[in-house]
Amino acid sequence: MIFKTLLYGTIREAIEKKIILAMFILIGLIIFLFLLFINLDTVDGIQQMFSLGGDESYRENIIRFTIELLNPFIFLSVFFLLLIFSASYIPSMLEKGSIDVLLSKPVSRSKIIIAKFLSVVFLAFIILTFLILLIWLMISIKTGIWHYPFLTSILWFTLIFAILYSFQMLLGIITQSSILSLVINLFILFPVSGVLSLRELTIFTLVDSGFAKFIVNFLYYILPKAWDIREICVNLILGVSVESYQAVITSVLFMFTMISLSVLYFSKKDY
Amino acid sequence: MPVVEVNKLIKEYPAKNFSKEKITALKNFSLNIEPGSIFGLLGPNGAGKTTLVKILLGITFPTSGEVKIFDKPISDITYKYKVGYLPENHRFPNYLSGEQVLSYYGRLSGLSVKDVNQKIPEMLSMVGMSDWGKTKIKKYSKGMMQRLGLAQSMLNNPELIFLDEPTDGVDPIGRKEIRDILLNLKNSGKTIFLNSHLLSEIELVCDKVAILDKGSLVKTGTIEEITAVEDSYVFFTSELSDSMINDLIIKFKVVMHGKNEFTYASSSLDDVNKILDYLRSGNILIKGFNKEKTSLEDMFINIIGKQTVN
Repeated sequence: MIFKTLLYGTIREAIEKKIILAMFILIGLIIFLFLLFINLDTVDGIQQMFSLGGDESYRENIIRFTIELLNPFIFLSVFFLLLIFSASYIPSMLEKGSIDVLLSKPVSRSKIIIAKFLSVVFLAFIILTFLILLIWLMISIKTGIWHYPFLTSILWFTLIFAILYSFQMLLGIITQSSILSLVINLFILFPVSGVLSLRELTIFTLVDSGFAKFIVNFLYYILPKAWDIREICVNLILGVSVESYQAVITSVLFMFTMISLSVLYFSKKDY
Repeated sequence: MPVVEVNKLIKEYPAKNFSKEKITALKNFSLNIEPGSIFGLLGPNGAGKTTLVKILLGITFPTSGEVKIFDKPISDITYKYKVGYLPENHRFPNYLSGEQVLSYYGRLSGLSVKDVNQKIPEMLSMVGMSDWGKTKIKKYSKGMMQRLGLAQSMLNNPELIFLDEPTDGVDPIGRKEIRDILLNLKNSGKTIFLNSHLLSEIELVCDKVAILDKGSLVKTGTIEEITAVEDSYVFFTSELSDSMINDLIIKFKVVMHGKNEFTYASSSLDDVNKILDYLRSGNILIKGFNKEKTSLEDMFINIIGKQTVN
């Protein structure tokens, strides 16, 4: 009951603060632009071009085209928006006068944090479902290719968000600042983890020292791997076999570590 | 059995400048609060009042000492089902209406949706906010927010209610209404822990008070005990003659307040009886005599002033 109330409170906050509405409008805008793109017969052109190679090639190319809509730029933009919208939840809960009332209720501190985390992830899931489902529907209706594995990207992207948000939540609890937690999170999780994912092609071409390589590898393994998970997601949709799930496993471990640290820190902190 | 038991409570905060020194907010503090009473906590700013309330509610953790509420240690959060709290400068989500605020916090207090829905109109009516339940609280005045906060603190029918500056921002009529609510709650057997700067208000409603200064308990007792001036009595008599007044001033060193009232300071009851005998021998009607009292405010300033000098 109390857990449900906490979930309800967070979702209500998103609705009342028009966060969900803003996200839907922004995503609607992206889809509207995409709709214009389709109306300009680009897809028809692509269809004709792809169909030259036969049925199998046509289907494969349409799937590739669909997945291209989850390209790194859109991936970055969507997660950027999601992290911005979720940045204020923890700091606003910790504001003086607000946290006092909350902690005076018969709710354990761990329950408060876990409920907050799950409700924000649930909101992200709704927004990602809206975005991915609409893209999939439009392309499928237009091309007649109904590639259901594409929809698994909703779950993969929700997982990526949960991993990123777990770190943002911990930063929010420690710093009690939306902006600071957002900036640190965006910096560490996008440029840093992006470069670390491509360390063989970037850092290792410049660095020769074994120790430096060890440190870079260490950072790579302990930090979440949003880009690598995206890559795994794309491969699975395309039906390409995935060699290793190491990126998923270590990132999920990172998420559980962040949640545990959040609960631990919040449970010991004086307000 | 006391509702609140605090034994040798110490609370230290780390100093903000990264030094090893610690700020002691509460020093070896002990206190018991009996059920069915209104307990007032007094003290200047920074005395440790809010820290104490926050420890009792599990918002802040004690450094050492024992704290029990309803005979349970505060680590067992189930005691909070029987507790209500109105913090100073509370902040409710301003996108909610009064009813929604009560519904949200009522459910967090463990009430079912049905119970919450039944209690909301009753609570809003009790604090005089029946017409404002559906209005978003961002349109509320400070006084209305206090009333809503008070309703929130009483929603789960708590046995112990902590109120931090409950009349802050409330107009005089509203303050009187809140005082009446507190007295009604007390009469129905609830225990109220009141933290207020308004000493006159504490004097009007509290059964017992504690004065806290720099983290230490300075004085505790009933309002009568705290405001009584030691070894000083006020006599009310029929009109005294000038010669009797003269005798009283010279022999007994009394302080006259007109012709039928005087104050006599002595630690000996024999001396008090001597005055009574003297008055009776002069056929003076003794209308009454009491131990002298001072206002709580004067006593508070006197005590805190002495502490500051010390």
